[in-house]
Amino acid sequence: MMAIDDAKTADAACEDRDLMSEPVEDSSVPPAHAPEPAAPEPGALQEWVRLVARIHNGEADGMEELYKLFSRGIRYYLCRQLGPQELDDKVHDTFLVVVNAIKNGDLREPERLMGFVRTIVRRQIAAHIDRVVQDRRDQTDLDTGSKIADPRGSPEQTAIQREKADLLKQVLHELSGRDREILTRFYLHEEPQELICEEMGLSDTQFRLLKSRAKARFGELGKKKLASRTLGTLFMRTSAASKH
Amino acid sequence: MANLFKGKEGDLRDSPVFEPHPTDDELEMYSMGRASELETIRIEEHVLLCGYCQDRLQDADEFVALMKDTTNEIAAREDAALDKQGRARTVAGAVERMGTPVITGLAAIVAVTIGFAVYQNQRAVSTPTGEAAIHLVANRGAGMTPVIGSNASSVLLSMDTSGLPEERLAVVVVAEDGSPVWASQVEPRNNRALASVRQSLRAGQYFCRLSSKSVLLREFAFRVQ
Repeated sequence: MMAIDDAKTADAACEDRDLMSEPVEDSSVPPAHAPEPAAPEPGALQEWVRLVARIHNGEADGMEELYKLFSRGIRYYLCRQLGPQELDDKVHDTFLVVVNAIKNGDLREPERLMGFVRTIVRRQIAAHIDRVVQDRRDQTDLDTGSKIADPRGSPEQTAIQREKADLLKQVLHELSGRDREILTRFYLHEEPQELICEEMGLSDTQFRLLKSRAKARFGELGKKKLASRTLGTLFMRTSAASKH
Repeated sequence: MANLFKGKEGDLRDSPVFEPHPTDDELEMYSMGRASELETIRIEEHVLLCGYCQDRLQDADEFVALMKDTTNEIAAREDAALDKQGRARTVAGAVERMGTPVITGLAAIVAVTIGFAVYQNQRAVSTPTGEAAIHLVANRGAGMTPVIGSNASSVLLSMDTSGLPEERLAVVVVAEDGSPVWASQVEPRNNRALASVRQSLRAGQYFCRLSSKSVLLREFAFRVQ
């Protein structure tokens, strides 16, 4: 298994490596291996209209289809914005709001079903945050301390995060000071790309390539790490088995 | 990020999507909260139905957060090194300007001594001697709280003071229950203030508050774990 220290030694050898010269996918176009999104056929939007009509009429299989289509996305959004606590309940509540709104005829343009669901999810998120803020305000007077979820991950997750941070540190140390400054200005100081390019004499393509290559290098190191870990585990199992 | 390591080929799945997939750049801008309103709507509607792009957005979220944390740490160390170099140069320059050869000679000795001290200090900053450096910026997004390890014997705080007056400011570090842990004063320079907390901090959430004449000007959050 490649230890982080070994990796650091390796990185010292290729200090100021020029990532610009390596081939990489263009991040300004959708990935080449992405699944084809369904073409916007004229009939496709009619599917939404029909689905909405079925739910409006109270057809159970319509609701089932809606759930199948949106439950993963709704769950994903809620989890991304609010965290994993009581996620099932929140997904269920959101789904009920969507179904009830459709049944009540609140969706006036059925072909805009996706936008409608998105709006409801956002409202649910905003309402949840409002409730939490209000609860916290109410509980301050009681001085009992409000219960908040522990934002830390499990020890395993923390260790994985630490490893990833070390890998990224390795990638950043491989870059020249100038390239590192570009990434720091973009990611940390959130300066606009145009400003960075203007001040540092970069074209848009050079800027994008630097980002893409840093990301690709990070992914490559991560893959190597995963592969070496798998081999390490296999080796440990084999030697354990040979002892018995 | 696991998917970034896995590769995308295994993740293809049918998604009833009517829009082309967002590009990596677009997802990244969205992840950083920097996409335009129209772009945000387009991406959110797409991601709501596209499992493939949900995974890609998760990758982007993790990469952006990691990038922020890591550049943060590197920038804090570089700031500290530059600040110490700057201080040494200022002292040497001031002594030299006094003019007489004796003073110049003394200045040279002082500069060499300080330079040596700076060199030693820089070595201390760039090698893991138990001091953790943390770069505190006024963030708009949530979930980007900088994190340091609890095994550090001291913590170097590098605070973003852009937009604040360049005057002496009070800095207080409080624990998550609001109890003060450490306090001092700092003088911001070039939109940054440095403070060294010469004590180890127990694991938990902390807030670093900058104030002037009892008026709270800025608050940064960081976590020790």
